[in-house]
Amino acid sequence: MPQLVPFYFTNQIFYGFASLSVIVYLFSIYILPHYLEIYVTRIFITKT
Amino acid sequence: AFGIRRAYPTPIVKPLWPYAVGGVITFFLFAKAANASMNTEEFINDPRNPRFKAGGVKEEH
Repeated sequence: MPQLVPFYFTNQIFYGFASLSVIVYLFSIYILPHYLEIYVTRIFITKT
Repeated sequence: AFGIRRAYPTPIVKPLWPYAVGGVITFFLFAKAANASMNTEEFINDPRNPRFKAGGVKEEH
């Protein structure tokens, strides 16, 4: 298993952190705020 | 898909910079541990060891 061979440790942690950074960025900028907006919109909808 | 419409000005660097610093520190600690592990008896003569690319020779124990 390459995960347990030390020659690949730095590669693994580099691309692991890089992938996490991309995921955090995309979710924070595009995906989660959209759902927040939906929930806030629902809170402020009032029946007349 | 996923409701992507437009970019929101979410702060990224300001709240998350300690995690980035921690990531850099962790990366270098991992590199240090990996280098130490490469020089152990189990991996010193592994053909994938990068020291062979630099002209290293097989070591006997």
